[in-house]
Amino acid sequence: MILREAVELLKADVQYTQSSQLEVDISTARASDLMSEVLADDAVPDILLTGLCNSHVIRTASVFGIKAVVFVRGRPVDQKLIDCALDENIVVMTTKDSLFTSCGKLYTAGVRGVTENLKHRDSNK
Amino acid sequence: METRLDKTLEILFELKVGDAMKKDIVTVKPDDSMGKLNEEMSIHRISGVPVVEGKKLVGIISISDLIAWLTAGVKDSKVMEWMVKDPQCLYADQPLIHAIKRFDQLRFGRFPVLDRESGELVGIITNGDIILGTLKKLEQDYNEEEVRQYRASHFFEDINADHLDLTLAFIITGKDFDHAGRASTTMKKNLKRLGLQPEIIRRAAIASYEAEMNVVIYTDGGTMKFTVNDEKLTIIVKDRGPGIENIELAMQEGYTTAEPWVRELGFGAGMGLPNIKKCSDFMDLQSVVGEGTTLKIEIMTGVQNETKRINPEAQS
Repeated sequence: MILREAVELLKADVQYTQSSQLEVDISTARASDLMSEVLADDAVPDILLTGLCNSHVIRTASVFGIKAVVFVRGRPVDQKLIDCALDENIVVMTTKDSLFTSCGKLYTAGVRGVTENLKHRDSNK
Repeated sequence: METRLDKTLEILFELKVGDAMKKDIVTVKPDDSMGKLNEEMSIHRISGVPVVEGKKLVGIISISDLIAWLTAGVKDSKVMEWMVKDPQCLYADQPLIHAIKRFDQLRFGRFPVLDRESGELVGIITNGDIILGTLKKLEQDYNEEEVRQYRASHFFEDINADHLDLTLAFIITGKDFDHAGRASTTMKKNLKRLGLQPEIIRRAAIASYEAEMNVVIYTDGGTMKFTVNDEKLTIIVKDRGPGIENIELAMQEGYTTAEPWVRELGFGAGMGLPNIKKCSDFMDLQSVVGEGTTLKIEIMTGVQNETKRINPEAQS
């Protein structure tokens, strides 16, 4: 699915984006509140879902190469975070759904966990 | 990926009316004759003229007003009798996007531009000026970034020496979470301009970001030094303490001494150091308790080969 469809599915408010960024393809996702755990992964997810709401999430996304971040449970995002997203060109959206529900919706739509993909590949070896 | 259209929108917010307006403007006075206006308009090939008294704008008169006067066949008429009084204006400090909206709403051919503080007339703007101003800025920005990337990616070819090291240093302030990560993200952009491979840049960014966060979280501050040459990228991170008691333990995945507030920020899972090791080709950690820690990371780059691959046409 493309990011624009994910926005609709999660009924998310897009806080920062450039129009073309919503057209990118989303096939893998990662959900975590532990940024250092995300950074230690072997594969880069297309989208990151988190309940953690500070500008380090954006920095982590930028450093790791993640295109979009979904902040769950309707957490308010502050200007510092938006400014950071602007600098790093990361799509920022918020949804009222919980982390569990958001992941469930994306999974149903065909998005898969990035680490799960890896394990699947490893077990095929 | 940023498209040209997004860039244009950004420029329309960034550029001010004052940047795009015409500054050398032809004006007439309220008691000038309509005959004089007719002359001015045909000499300068313009279709609208602001009417000023001193430096104060009192009206605007356009070619349609001139035609109305000619049709009426009144002789010895003055500008003030035919001009539009108290015309709609723009201010020089308004963003260009605002001007576009006004043109769209009112369908005027031009707007006089005033200085907000003095209220004096400083210029005039037409739709054409907006297009020209935007294109100029677009071209300028494009050239600047192109030159930057070109210069940076050719750095190692244009500067001659038997051995060349480019060193960039950053100061890291302890406990300053608002700016934590700045050195790593800035360096990531620099490495991109230098033309390094994306995979190398990603590993360097992750390793340096983890190291930078460690300095911010656990120490009173320190420095980060990035040295790039044609064979490798070296990152040296030094802090002023407190130092690591047991390095072997610290290197274990999951081991952490982080306090709860660090975890609330999404860090302190005991993954930092192992992750740095994973991202680097060589890693060395030296620490003296009470004095400080020095971390050395090396990532093999092969800069020269890489720039040649990216800019094959530049190799003559």
